[in-house]
Amino acid sequence: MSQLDSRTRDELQRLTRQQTGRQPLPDPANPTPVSGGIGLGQNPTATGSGTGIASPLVETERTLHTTQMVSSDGLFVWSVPATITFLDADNRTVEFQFSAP
Amino acid sequence: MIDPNAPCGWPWHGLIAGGYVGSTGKAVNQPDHGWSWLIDMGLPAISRTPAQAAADAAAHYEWRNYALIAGGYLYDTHIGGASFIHVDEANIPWRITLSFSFPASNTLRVDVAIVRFGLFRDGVHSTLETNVSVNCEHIDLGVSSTGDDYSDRIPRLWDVWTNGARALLGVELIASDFYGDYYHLASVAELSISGTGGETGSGLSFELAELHGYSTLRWVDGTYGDENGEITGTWHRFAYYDSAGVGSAGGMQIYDFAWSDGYDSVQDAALRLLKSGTVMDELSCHRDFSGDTHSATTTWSGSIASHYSSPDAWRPWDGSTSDILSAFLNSNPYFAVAHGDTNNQPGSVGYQRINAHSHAIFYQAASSRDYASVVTPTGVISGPGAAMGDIYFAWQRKTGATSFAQNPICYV
Repeated sequence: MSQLDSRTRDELQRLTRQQTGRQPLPDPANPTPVSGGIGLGQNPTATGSGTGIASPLVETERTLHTTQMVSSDGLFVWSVPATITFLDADNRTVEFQFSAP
Repeated sequence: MIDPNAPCGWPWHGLIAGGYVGSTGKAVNQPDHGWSWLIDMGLPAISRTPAQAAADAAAHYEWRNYALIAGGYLYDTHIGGASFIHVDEANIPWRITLSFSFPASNTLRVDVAIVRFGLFRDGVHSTLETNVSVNCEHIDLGVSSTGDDYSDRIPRLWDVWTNGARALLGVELIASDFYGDYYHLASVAELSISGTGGETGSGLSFELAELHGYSTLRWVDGTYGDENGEITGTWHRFAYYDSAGVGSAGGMQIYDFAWSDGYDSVQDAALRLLKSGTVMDELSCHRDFSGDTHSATTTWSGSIASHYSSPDAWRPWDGSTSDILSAFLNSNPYFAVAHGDTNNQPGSVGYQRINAHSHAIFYQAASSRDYASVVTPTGVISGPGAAMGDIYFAWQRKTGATSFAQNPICYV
């Protein structure tokens, strides 16, 4: 078989495979929902420079979970924070929320 | 997320020796004595899955629901010579620090500093102070009823019972002569703590009472040196809680009795190890001589009695130096017991105060010693047998395990 014949054969086979996997186009009346990869922008309320959290963060308040951590021998006890509130450099409030132990 | 059921704290446990915890490979400070204080809040046993247990074993971890303050160290941190941890009736731990003074000749005052222990960051961390006092039978300086001339006195925290519920205090008096200083206990007092501390510790109550007074701890009876004489000299040297929690004092006694009517005679002599006045072990020799039969019977008793048979070991007929008494007698008949702890005279009896609230008499052979028994806070137990020098002892207060070694040891 010549080289030309071989190339012709490969192209024909490729066309055949594409035809086998062909799918119908979506129904325009029921479009496929967006599954990801698309960012929906929503501008945050403009309270500062508009560039996110500004360092440094200064702790202003802390709340604790009622459940405490205790060492296995019972001698050491420490509380786990539930929330820690900070004030950033632009005087904006930032709150961290922690899961209960 | 933090797992509240995950074990945490101090996972290395066993016998501290040579600066390491057992075979865990964990390097720690080596405690200078062999007693541990137990913190046991009655917490539930720690449950581990087979996989977790295997991981623990691989890391040489063991998680316990109790703690041992090993020779004054908790988590390898020294908590102070006169400090201990008290767990109140609500299972809240407090650090208690004591200081001592003598506001009157026979009064011991204990100042107590209380601060919450083991609470990170939050809560009240200020120290609360209070004090208690007790009148003791005799802790005064000067010449005592026993003829001792005391120049100084040392108050000391000797032992702490489980959860720091009670602490054993002692006052030692010091007399001196040409050979050195003589220390002995003149009083053993107990500090008891009860109640719930609350936020600041103000809810705790402290009581101080004398458990053993001078007349129990130090006494001399009789006159030494008479042909028909009897003398008993008794010292107590250290205080401890025994395995039942009874505040006790470890002491020694030399007993020497001789009687003769010029025909029959009886002699008794003994070196005794005491627990609050009760004989726990001894080396004693009893001899009867009959003028009718001109024969003598001799009986030795005590843990190392098998090394002796002849009465001459204690009191030679010819009046030459005794193998035993000469080891303890100097110009002061009780020198070794009151001052020197060990005796290395071959063929004689030695005494060692073991730095674990324990002591023993041993037989000193030419090149080794025989420790047949040791008087410990857990009672009189079999000793390690042969040893080349001083021995060390440790007792695990939770499990009751005991151990002897040739070097310092302590359970953690």
